[in-house]
Amino acid sequence: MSKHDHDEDINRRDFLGKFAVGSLVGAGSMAFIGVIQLPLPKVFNEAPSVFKIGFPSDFQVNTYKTIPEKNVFVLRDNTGFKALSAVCTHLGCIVSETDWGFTCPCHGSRFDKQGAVTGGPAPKALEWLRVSLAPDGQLMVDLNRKVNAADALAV
Amino acid sequence: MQNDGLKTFAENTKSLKRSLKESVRRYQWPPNSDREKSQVIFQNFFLHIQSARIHKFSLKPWYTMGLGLASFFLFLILCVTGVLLMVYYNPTTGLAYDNVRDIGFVVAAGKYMRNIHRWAAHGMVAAVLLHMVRVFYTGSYKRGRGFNWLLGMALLVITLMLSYTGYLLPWDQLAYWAVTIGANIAASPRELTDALGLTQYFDLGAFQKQILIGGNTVGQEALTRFYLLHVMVLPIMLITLVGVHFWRIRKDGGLSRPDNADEIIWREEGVELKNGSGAKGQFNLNTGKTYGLMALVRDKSPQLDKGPDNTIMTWPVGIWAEVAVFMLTLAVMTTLAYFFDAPLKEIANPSIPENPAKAPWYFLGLQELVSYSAFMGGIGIPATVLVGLALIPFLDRENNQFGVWFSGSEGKRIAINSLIFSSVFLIAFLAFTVKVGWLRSWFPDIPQIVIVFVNPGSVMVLAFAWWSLHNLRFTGSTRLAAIALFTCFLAGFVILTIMGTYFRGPNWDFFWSPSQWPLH
Repeated sequence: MSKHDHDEDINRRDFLGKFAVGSLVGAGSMAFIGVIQLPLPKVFNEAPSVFKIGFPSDFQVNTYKTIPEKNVFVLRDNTGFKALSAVCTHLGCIVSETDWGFTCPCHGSRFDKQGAVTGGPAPKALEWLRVSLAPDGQLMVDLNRKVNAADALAV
Repeated sequence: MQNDGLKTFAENTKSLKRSLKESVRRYQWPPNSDREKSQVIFQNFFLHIQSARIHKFSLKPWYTMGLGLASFFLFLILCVTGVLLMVYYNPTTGLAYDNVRDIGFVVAAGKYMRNIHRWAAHGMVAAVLLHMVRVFYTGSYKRGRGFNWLLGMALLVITLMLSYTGYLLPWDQLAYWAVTIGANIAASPRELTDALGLTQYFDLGAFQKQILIGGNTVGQEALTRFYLLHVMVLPIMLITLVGVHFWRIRKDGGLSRPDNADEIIWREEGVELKNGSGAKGQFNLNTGKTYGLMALVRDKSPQLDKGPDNTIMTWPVGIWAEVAVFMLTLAVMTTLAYFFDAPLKEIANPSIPENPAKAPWYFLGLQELVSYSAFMGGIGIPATVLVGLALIPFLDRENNQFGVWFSGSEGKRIAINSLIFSSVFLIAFLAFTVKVGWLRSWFPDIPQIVIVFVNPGSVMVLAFAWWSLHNLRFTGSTRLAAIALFTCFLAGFVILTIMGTYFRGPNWDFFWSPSQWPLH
């Protein structure tokens, strides 16, 4: 072995010491990456996102009907049935119906009858949700399927 | 031999009381000499975090006002009352609310303990904030104490998180909606990623929200997580950092005090110095001085024949002062708890928000800001303010006028000017937005990204930043510019909090008084 090679070498104690610290840092960061996934839920222990809201005959034409405990307004107009989410797009409070449309109690966001923002801090319009017909003839709303304001279920 | 053994045993038994006492207390009692008094501090695990001697100036009540200690004592009170509340509390959505009601109506002393816990939590937030204000205005973050200022910032954030997590536990309407709002603030980076079209690739908002509440809506998972954070994770983090915070004060030479602290004490005590220059009667040691070789700390060393040393033994006077702060803190809390009951609203109802749904007072300024833009008010501005506060010791490195309120009369003048500027500006500006509205009232189709960046909150921050730079240019002093900026934000915090507390009603509309609120 030449003298030059010796200079490049590190002695055994330094090697073991650096290896120990390096393995600690490496194992620690790997463990962190692994463990940070633990609190990220893979299963949501929540109410189903698809639910039945009643028979078409339960709804009057051109009125918004509130579905209890579901935070959804259902509108029946001459094109059919539509569902509008009542969850404010600002910070998740539940909007209530007013003369001009909808208003949020938490920070005063305002929406028109079509859910479009007319005032306040809300960043986007209220969401229209897909309405479909269940085999038993009841209407169903799917909270996870967003649709355009014009899409309606004709029955 | 057997006799001797029995005799020794009998003697040991007779002196059992004394030998037990000596094994616990390994110092002379009562302590008479300074050396024995220092042993009381050194030999006690809990007391040895402080130095054996303290400067007389540190005992002046108007300098620290005991705020840091009061914060710590409030934390101890919270630990004790919190453990007592845990005896009956179950963190499940089905039981939590009933448990809290039982604690209020059935459990012996339960209501009183919950009241103390509630007011001590509010008190701790207030004390920590005021402590930060004191440390800032006396310039106590200087001379190597920058890291301790950072620890203080971390402790402020942990204190706020403890309050926030504790807020959910009663599972009432206020709890549910305050936490729903908070969780959606965590999700608000989506406002930005949506505007930039990035959400489908990288949904930071959803990640933060799901890791915080373990779902898409506040439910059992959120309650479990908040309970875990509230009773385990955050208190352990807090107590660890408080230990380091205290230890650093000791290593930095005790509480901050002005350079002329000795002259102040000598003048008060009528000490006559032999020669005029003796007023400077100390010399600097680079390594610091030793107290009984227990620790090397940064400080000045007394010099012979140059005027009397103004430090006294911590035992017993310093301990008396600490106990006095504790008793005062406890007295205020028990009195408040006797006269005012902790509120409990109806059980959480995920369909009907409170109207108005108001957070606790210290978050109402924030709530006013999020009513302009969720992302900017909830994350952008608070993060800017926290980073700005954290950087103060590293951007303002002027080391004169340490330990002096407002760094002297010039600083006091700047502080008053800044108070007037920020109050007048912010009140006029808020009146303008209430009366005339903001961008969306004039241009209904304005893109959201413009509102995120140009809203009353960000305009306020820019105005304050401009004021501080203006002062920096005219005074040429980073300390005075820091005073200007800090005063502006302090006034901003107070004004926004008052706005959110007293002048916002249903639908977050402006009202002069709650008596004008419409029926809702």
